Order: sequence, then structure tokens, then C-alpha cells
Amino acid sequence: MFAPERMMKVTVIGPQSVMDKAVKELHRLKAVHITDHQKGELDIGSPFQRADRLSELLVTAKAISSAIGISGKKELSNGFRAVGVKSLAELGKAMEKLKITVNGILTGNKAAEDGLKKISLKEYQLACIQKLGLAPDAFSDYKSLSSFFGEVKDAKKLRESLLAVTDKFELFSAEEKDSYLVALFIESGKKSSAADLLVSAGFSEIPLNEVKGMAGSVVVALEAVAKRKERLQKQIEANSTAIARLGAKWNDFLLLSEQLIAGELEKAQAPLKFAVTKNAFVVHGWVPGSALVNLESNLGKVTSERIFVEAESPHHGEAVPVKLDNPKLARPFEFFMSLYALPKYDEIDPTLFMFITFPLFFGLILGDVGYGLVTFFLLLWLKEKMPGTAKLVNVVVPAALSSIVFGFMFGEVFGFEGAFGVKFPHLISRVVEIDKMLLIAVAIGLLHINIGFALGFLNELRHKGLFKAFAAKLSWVILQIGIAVIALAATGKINAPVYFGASIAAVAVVLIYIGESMRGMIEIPGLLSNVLSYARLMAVGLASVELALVINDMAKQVSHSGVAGMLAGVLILFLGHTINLALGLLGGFLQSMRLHYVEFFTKFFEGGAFPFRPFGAKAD
Amino acid sequence: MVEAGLVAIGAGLAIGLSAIGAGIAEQQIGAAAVGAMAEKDETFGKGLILTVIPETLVIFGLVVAILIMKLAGSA
Repeated sequence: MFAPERMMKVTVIGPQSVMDKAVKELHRLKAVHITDHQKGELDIGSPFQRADRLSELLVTAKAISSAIGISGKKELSNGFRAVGVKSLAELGKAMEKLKITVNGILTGNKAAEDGLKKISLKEYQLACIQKLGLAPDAFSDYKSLSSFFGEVKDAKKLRESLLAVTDKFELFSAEEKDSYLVALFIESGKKSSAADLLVSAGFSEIPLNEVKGMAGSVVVALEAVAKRKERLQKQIEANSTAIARLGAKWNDFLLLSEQLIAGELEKAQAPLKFAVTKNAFVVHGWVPGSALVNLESNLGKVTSERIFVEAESPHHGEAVPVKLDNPKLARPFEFFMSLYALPKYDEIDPTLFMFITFPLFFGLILGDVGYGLVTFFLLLWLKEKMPGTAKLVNVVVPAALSSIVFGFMFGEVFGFEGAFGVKFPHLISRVVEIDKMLLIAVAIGLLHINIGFALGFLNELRHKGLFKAFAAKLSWVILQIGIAVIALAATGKINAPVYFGASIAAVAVVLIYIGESMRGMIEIPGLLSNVLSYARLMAVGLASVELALVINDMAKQVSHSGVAGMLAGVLILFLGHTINLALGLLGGFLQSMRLHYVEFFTKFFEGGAFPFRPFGAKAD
Repeated sequence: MVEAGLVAIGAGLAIGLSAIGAGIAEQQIGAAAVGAMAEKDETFGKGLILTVIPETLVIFGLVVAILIMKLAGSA
């Protein structure tokens, strides 16, 4: 609960002859976090021979999946049988067959697409020639004649400039949208000067590579082209339906095989993490204490007791992978730890505290029956529609429930504190009793921060002993008592001299210096801002209520002027409360989270452990 | 009536100016923190803490605003 799950350091030793079986069992148990062996006295193991074949298969499977557009997820249940094959060899054969089918279709499709591109080009070129009223064979090679074909900006000007050079040419032109299509036939001797003139006229060539050497009329050619084009398009269409059909048929097979092969590959490559000698292998790793007995007996069973498992408790300060261990109800709140940092193995896990205080803070800020209910149902809907958000939703649902509870305490429904002249019953009114709310917020802050110091004390106790831990953490509590005594004495609330409180505070400051040295000194003024920071519990909530009140007032005012006014009022209510709820949710979430991360965690939390990832378990 | 207006202006200035100050400070820290996070996801926690440090200024502003209103009310 308050600490990560207890881990044991295990060493598994066995002869190489049973390595395969041991790996399979380790993969199945999903209980051991294997530490990579660093090459030293012992060599690193080499992967099983099948690893090559498996990686090849995985690449094939992924390639097919991407070629026929398969994506998504499917839970893999019972190994090869789920995929519909009995063995790896059979899977390989099925995959190969599928690959050939897919490749066949894809190659055909590629050819059809290329053909379509070519034919479209031909169609365009023919159409251009047709516009000029020419035939394709006009552009065959001549001895004394050069031809140009393309577009220019102004055909008339071109003609004039050509006339200045020679009159032995023929210029065909047709007007396009904002240019002219031209075909120029000119005596070979003037070819280069014609080219220069064309360039200055903004000539861009249209190549006639697809129609060169063609005989006969353009109309007939165009008819043939259209027919061929239609045929190719039909072919491409047929191919895409074939691909879609394949995708539907092989979807599950591919998704499952990919997972299966990836799992098998992980097993085949496992020896890369092991240490090996000529005849034996050694695995170092971590296993939860509760799973140790099961691990030993199962490994023994599959290898006919030819394997040796040694377990020891972790040493002090050793880097241990961390698996959080919380009651089921509080588990969603581990989300906050993964967002921030995992607690170290020998640190207190604050998840359970967050489970209590996060919804509390959120509720204090959003506290409104209406907003709470809307949020609650919105979250349920969100979880249904977008399972990916489940992690976040599971954290906010308790918070939404808490804001309903606080809504009853504040007597607020969508900012209204009453309806039809009747006030809702409430314990405290946030809008009226601002001072009281401020006091409550700061009191909660004091309590929260001191819980933090107490946890810090417990953390330090394990590393630095009683005195150091006391000086570093509990001294802060004494400092607060000292300040409180000064304040109470100065205002005459208690019968004690002010210097009494001052001396308590001075002792505390000395202790802080001993415990946390200069860093602690610097943080002393921060104590005040830390406590005052909790005023946001009141302030953010107050802002949200006031905004709701303004929205309600505005709606009320417009609604007095007839039917249109009523409609406008409803619109204002809807839009206003939607925006206010969005702001309130964001504010409530971030501010509550911040109070934990910044004010609470800094009192005791270090974090930075690496997560427990058992061999065989899927990565998140 | 004039006095009540002045009190309100004072309280408004207390919170408004402190919010501007916090905003200016957070703008730069926030930009740097997001930059760090883009490089390394794990810096989210640290980045958040550093970003929200100046926020306390607003809280101080709020407390001062409440004090102004209270003192003015009792005077």
C-alpha cells in the first residue's frame, strides 16, 4: 500500500539444454524483470537460431499489413491456435502464400496505374494536336524543316517577330484560357533564332513523346485511348476491391500473427539478456516477493528440476524496479505518479494520499451539484466513446462525485444558490462567507503540508537515522508552532511572552540548518507561500461561482423581453455554463494536481525509479 | 460612495498587477519547460513545478485584495 511491492533479486541458473524451456516458462509467467547482462567475465548469450526467421516473418507480416491497410488491435488469447495454425512453420507457409497473393495484386495494380498515367498523357497530347487541327504524323522528322510544339503567351506577337526573321514558316495557333497553343514549322536553317524568339515569347514545350510516329486520324486514336483508359480504370477498381476483400479476410490473422511473432521473437532473443558459459546460462532479475514460490516451482517443473533459483532481498540503496501496489479503488491514481515520477523502491508511495486529497481539492474548487452531475455523465460517455482516455477518466470520476457532494455542502446548482425564492440548504455559502472559506483552505493547506513533512520524516528515517530525519523534517513543524505562538502571544490570545514563541522558532531554524543546510534556509520564506498557496482552493472556486452568477444574471435580464429574449437567455445559459464548466474542470484538475506536485510532494518525495517490466508482458 | 470605488480599484490593482507580474514570469519559464519536455518527457513534473512557482504572486495579490476590502470595511 504505502510502499511499492516488495521485490526479490533472483538469479536463475541452469544448463543450456533447458534454456529454451526456461525462457518459455519465464515468458508465460510474466513475473521476472530481467536485468541485461553486461559483458564481463561471462559472455552475453546469443539468440536462438529461429530468431532470424522470426524477424523475417515479422517484417513480412508488417509489410503485408501496411500494404493492405490493416490497423487496430486484437487481444491475443491462446497462442498459435488463435491464429489458426499449429506451428511456426505452418504460420510461415500461410504468410508466404498471402504475401504472393498480395504482391500479385499490387504488381498488377502498379502496372495498371503506370499504364493509366501513360495513356492520360497520350490523351492530352492528342487533344492538343486536335485543337490545332493537325494530325500526329505532321510531327515526324523532316530534313529541311524543324518543328516546335507548346504554349506561348501571345501568338500574334510571335508571328510578327518571326516574320522579321523569315517568311518560310507555318504557325498554327489556338487560344487557350490565358495562353496560346502553338505549333511552329520553320526551315531548319532558322531553327536557333526561332528557338530564341520562342523563349522570349514565354514558350513552354509540350512533349509529344507518346504520339510520335503515329499515323491516322486523331479522332480514331482518341477513341482507342478512351477505351483503353476505361479498361485500366476498371482494372484498378477491381484491384482495390480485391485488396479490401483480402483486408477483411486476413485482418484478424495478421493482427494476431504480428503479436504472436513478436512474442516468439522476444523469447528467441531473450538469451541476449543472459550470461552464458559453455554449458550453462545465468539470468539476473527481479521478481515480486509474492510470485517467487510460484516461479521456483514452475521453473522446476518444466525443466525436471534441472534449474536453480536463488533469491535475496535487495541491498540498501540498490536500484530496484518499482511496481506500485495499491488497493483496487486507488489504482487509477497511480496515473499521477507515472505523470510525475515513480517513487523509489524505499520511498513512501503517495498514491493513496492522492486518492483521498485529489478528489477533495477538486470538489472544493468545482463544488456544484449541476456541474458535478454534468461532468460525471460526460466522463461516462467519454469512456464509452474513447477508451483511450480511460486512464484520465478514472481519475476524474471520483473528483466529479466529490464536487457533487461539495455542491450540496455549498448549496449550489449551476451557480444558483436557490430557486423560486427558496434558498437551497447549505453548510457554508462560498459567495458570502469568503473569509471563512479562506480560513478553511489555509487550514487544509497546513494539514496537507504537515502530512507531507511527516511522510518526509518517515522517508528520511530509513536513510539517515532519527536525529537527522527529525532535524530535516519535523523541525518545520516546530517552526510552524513557534510562529503560531508568536502570533497568538502578540494578539493576546494566549498568556505567554512573544520571545517564548520566538525562541521555539529559533531552535527550529537551527535544526533546519542542521538537517537541510543552506537549502533549508532558503526555503523558510517559501513555507508561507506554500501555505497561502492553498488559498487557491477558495479563490478558483469563488471565481467559478461568480462567473456562473454573472451568466445567470445576464440570462435573466435578456429573458424579460419577449420570446426572442427567452431564446437568447437559454442560449446565454447554455454557452456560458459550457465555457464555465470547461474552465472549472481545467482549473480544478490543474490546481489540485499542482497543490500535490508542488506543495505536497516537495516535502518528502524524490522519485525517479524505473518501472517493473516483467519479461513477456506487453509494453504499454 | 467614492471611497467604496477607490477601495474596489485598490483591490483590483492588487490582484491585477500581481497577475500581470506572474504572467510575465511564467511566460518565459513555461516556454523553457515545454522545450525541455519536448526533448525529454520525464521532465514534465519538474517543468510543472518550476512553471507554477510565480503563481504564488497572484495568491499574495488575492490576500492583499481581501485585506484591503476588510480593512476598508471595518474603518
